[in-house]
This record gives sequence, structure tokens and C-alpha cells, in this order.
Amino acid sequence: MFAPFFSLLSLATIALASYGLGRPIVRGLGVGEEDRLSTAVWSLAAGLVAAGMFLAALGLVGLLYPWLIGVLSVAASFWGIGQLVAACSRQRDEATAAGESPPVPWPSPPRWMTGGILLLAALACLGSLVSAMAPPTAGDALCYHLELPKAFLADHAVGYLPYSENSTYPLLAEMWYLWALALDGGVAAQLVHWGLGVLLGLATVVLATPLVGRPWAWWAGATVVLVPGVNNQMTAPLNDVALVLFVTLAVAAWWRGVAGGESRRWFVLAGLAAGGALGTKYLAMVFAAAVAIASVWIFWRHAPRRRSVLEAAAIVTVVAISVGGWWYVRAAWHRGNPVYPFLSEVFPSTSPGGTDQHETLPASKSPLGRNPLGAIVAPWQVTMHPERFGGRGHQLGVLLLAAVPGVLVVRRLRGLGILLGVGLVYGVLWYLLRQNVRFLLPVVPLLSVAVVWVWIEMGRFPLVPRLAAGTAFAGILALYAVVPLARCGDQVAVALGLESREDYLLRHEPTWQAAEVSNQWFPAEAQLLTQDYRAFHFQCRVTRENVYRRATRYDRQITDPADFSRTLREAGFTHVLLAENVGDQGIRYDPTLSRLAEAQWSACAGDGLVTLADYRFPDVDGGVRRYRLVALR
Amino acid sequence: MIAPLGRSNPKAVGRRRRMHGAHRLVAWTLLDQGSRPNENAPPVAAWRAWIFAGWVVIVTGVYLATMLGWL
Repeated sequence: MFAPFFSLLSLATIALASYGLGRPIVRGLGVGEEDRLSTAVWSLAAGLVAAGMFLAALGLVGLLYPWLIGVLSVAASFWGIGQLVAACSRQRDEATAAGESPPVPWPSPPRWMTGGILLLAALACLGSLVSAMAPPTAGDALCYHLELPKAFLADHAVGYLPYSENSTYPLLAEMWYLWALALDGGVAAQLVHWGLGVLLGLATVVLATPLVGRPWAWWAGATVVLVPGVNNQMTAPLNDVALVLFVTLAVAAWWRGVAGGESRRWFVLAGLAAGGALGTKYLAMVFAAAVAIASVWIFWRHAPRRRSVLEAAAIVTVVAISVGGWWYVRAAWHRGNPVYPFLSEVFPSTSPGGTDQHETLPASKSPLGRNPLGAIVAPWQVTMHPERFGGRGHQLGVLLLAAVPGVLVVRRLRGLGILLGVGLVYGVLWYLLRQNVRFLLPVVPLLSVAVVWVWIEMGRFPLVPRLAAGTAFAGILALYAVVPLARCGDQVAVALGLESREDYLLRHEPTWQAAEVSNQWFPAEAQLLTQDYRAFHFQCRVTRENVYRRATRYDRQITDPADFSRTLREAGFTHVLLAENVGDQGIRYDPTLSRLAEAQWSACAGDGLVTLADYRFPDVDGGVRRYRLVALR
Repeated sequence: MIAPLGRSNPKAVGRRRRMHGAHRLVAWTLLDQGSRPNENAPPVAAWRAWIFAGWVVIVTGVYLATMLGWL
């Protein structure tokens, strides 16, 4: 019953420790401290990057022990409390006003409207919080975002896992999940990503403040957390929200130096955030390319800013590579490819026979093709048919498509063009590379600033069109606040501790029954070969069958059906998890492992294969999964 | 003769500062901030406003209809 409380306590510990680590960094740089909000956001972000790098370093030297991480976390959290108290005392003594923003020549929003939009954002965050407090069941999370940290903790090191394609990815976010796993478990890791979503909203406020003023900047922050794709991502331990957080902060700091003409120390902060983004996901390089192209434009068109553009490029690049580049060095060391598995056409494969060749730009990942007409209709198609681009759960919603074109009918806002330019270039790159809707999340904060500017200018509209558009926007925002609350209904009981996490997993997680059997009966040295990628809930070492088959071609070595179990045992496996869909709809598994097992059963009448569990699990999409947990004798 | 100034009580000074802070908080919560000066921008042309409002309403309607499966 107290499990939710301990998960929240773990989140608070991580947040305080991160603040404590980051506060001295921000204080030392001397920028980002203009008010309490900015100080908190920059300190948390810098602290998270520092903590992630520290955990990775511990992993490199083989010191990832939960007890050590726990002791260091408690110490760092008390340090963070001390930093908070000192910051509050300092500001009370100085009697500074909170949140003074630069004066702007337009009216502040009515207080009741600001309260209303913040209330909607809070409701959306509450809905996603309830969902995040349920045990993780998201496929990608169980496949590698949580599975890799679990494996690293078990090995006490951040090692190379040859049969895990994701083990050489940038793993900064996974280091935070490892931190949470060491303190509590999968729910705490999920809450970390939820917390990053809240921090993203606050980071958007920091981004928007120099352009629209602090009162209106709160609207931009609220808008971001109301975007369906962002709010939905906050319910699962993935890495897209973490990426968006760091690219937003990188742009915010870069903008202060280049467009705002402020201290070049902002570029150091931008580099720190950019390094965090690079360490989170490869997609950060695409965003960096968009910012680089925007920089070239500024360099060409604005002669007075040329020096700051060049300084920004140099400082941000050096700091970002120093902070986030070592993940790419690690990938190059183990795979011969710093961006494995992408660009395998450029970087040669290190495995025999080139078995890990992946097409970087497959046509299947570009539903709109790559032509000018597709680019023009892309915003409409992505908004109206997100299921073609990765699913409705990751959609951007209609707010951006409805509001952003308003910049064509209102005045130009100084500095906004840079943000829109970066967003436009990134959108073009997205269109040319991989058209997945969640890969568009990085532009959401940038476009949210444009949305708020349009809302500010709507104050100069005639009454009737202002009311019509305002009513539509209010309805959209209210809808996006209600959806997370409606979605979390099934998670309320387990979030409040009224239902056990095991019972919840029994109802929602297809592999849970097999995992329970394995966790109770497997020996310590067990190794599982599985057709299903959902591996997190298994305590033993798990290898995905399709990756293992691509690397070793083991199936071609089995010429006699009776050799199936012997071949896998000689390779070190003790058990297999067979998975198939016996329904008409839903997920499809590669049948190789099932086919080989069935062949041995037919040939040897069960010799060598002992079924430990055989059950069916109905999916919400109408499919029926059948799982068989089998011991190899 | 100028009357000597009495010594200020540090505790009283602290209480006054906190009281002033409370007064500001109450005033900020209950009173209107008032409009800012210098807002002399002309209104947006009616045709632009109507085009934008029409776009917003149409896009929102199509989106809702699509999400509900009506389109």
C-alpha cells in the first residue's frame, strides 16, 4: 500500500539531488539566475546531466551498486535541500521580487484566464501522474529503456551487450532510469519521465519569457504540457520528452546569446543542454543541424551578430561534444559505427557477414514520400491522421495547426522568426528523414511561443472573430485537459495503493505471468531467449530471438529438429519464451523460434523441451497472444 | 533642536517587512493590475481576423470529426 509513496519519495530524492548538483554549476556560470524559476530550471537540468554522466562513469568502472547509489543519492538530496534553503534565505534577505520579467508593450493576460489555462495544464499533469504511477507496460520501455538499466544494475557496469541493438545508443535518460531503479523500481523510473515533462513546461516558460514576457510565457508552458503527444509520453519511461527538454533549453540559452546579445556564458549553458540532448537521442543531431542552418542564415543576414554566431557555434559544439559525445565514441568502439544502427551504409558492419545492416531511410518510414507536394500537405496529414505516422497517442493535436498560421496576419515579433526558422528547417529535415509524429515533438515548445504571440495579437481583433477563435482554442485546451484524466481511470486504484502492482500487471502486461514463473523458479544463472521484446519484468538475463538470429544465424545450424534444444543450450540459453498471436488481429511475431520448437516436439515427443507455463492473453486490439515458457533439457 | 531618532527594533523591522509582503500579496490577488501604457497598436484588419478565425474554426471542426470517425 505504501509503494506509491516510496516511488514519489524516490522522485523527490532524484529531483533534490539533481538540484543540488546543478546549482553550483549555474552559480559558477553566472547566468540563468534572473529569478527563482529560471534558477530552478537551469539547476535541475544541469544537475540531471551531471548526475547522468556521473552514473555512466560509475558504470564504466564497474561500481553500479544499488546501495552505493542510494547512499550518494541521500547525501546529494540533503545537499540539494541545503542549496534550496540557502537560495531562499538569500532572496529573502535581498528582498528581490519574484519573476520580474522585461517590460513589454502589450497588456498582460487577465489573471483569471492565466489561472484557467494553468488549471487545465495542472489537470492534464495530474492525469498523466496517475497513469505514471501504475507499473510500466509500454513496449519500448520494457524492451530497452528499462531493460538496459536493469541489466546494467545486475552487472554493476555499463557494459556492451552484443545481442542488444540498443545497448550502444545514447543512454543518458537510461542512466536516470537506472538511478530510479536502484532507489525504487520501474514506477519511480516512469515518474522521472513525468517529472521531465513538468520541467519541460517550465523550460518553455524560460524560453518564452524574453520574447513575450513572463505573464504570457506561462501560457506557452501550459500549452506544451497540454499537447497530447507530450502528455502521453509523460506516462511512460521513454526518452522523447527528455530530448525535447534539452533541445528547448539549448535553444533558450543560445537565443539569449545570439539574438538577445547577452553574455557568451549563455553559450556554455547551451552547450551543456545540447550535450544532454545528444546523450539522450540521435535525433538531437537533426535538431542541431536545424540550428546550424538557422545560424548560417543569421550570419548572412545580420552582420552585427556574426561574431556572436561564430562564438556560439564554437562554444556550443565543444561543450556539447564533451558532454554527450562519449556515447558515440562508445558505439564506435563496440560497433564500428558511432550512430549504430543508422548510417550502416557509410560505416562498415563489425559482425561477420554484415548481419546488422539496417537501411537508414527506408521508404516504409516515409508515408508521405519525399516530394514537394507531400511536404506541403504534411502539417495537415500529421494533424488529421497521426495513426499513419506512429499512432494517435503521440499526436501533436490540432492547436499548432490552427494557431501558428496566425503569424501571417499579425505583427512580427522580434526574435520569434529565429524560433520559427529553426522549427521550419527541422520540419523539412523530419520530412526528408523519418516521418514519425513523435519525432516532431522537439518543435512543440518553439511553436508554442508563436501560438502565444498569436493569442496576444488576438486582443487587437474585432470582437466577433476574436470570440470565435478564442472559443475554439478554449475548447481544444479543455479537451486536452480532460483526455488524460479520462485515460487514467484504470490506473487510479494501483496509483493510490488500493490495488497491488502484481494484480495490475496480471491484467495489463502480457508477459507478466511468464515473468512471475521465471522469477520464482529459474536458477540464478538462467538465460532466456524470447520471441517477445518485453523483457523488463524478467529478473533473469533476456535475449531477443530476432536480434540473436540476425547476429548468429543459429537457425541455419539446426539441420535436425531434435538438435534445437541442444544447440541453444550449447549457446548458453536455459529457457525460451515462445510467443504467437492466435487471433486475427494485432501484433505479429516472427515464427522462427516457435517453428523450431514445434518441430522438435513433433520429432521427439517432448524430449528436451519442458513446458513451464502456457497461457493466453487478450489484447485490447482484438488479438490473442499465446505464451509458452519452456525449459531446455 | 532636532529630536533624536529612536533606535529601531530589528524584530519590529522584520515584522513590518513581512506585513508589507502580505499586503502586497493580498493586493495582487484581489485588485486588477490595470492596463499597461504604450499600447497604441492599431487593430488588426477585419478581413484578416475573419480569415484567421474561419481557419481556426474549420480546422478544429475537421479535426474533431476525423478523431470521432465521422470523416
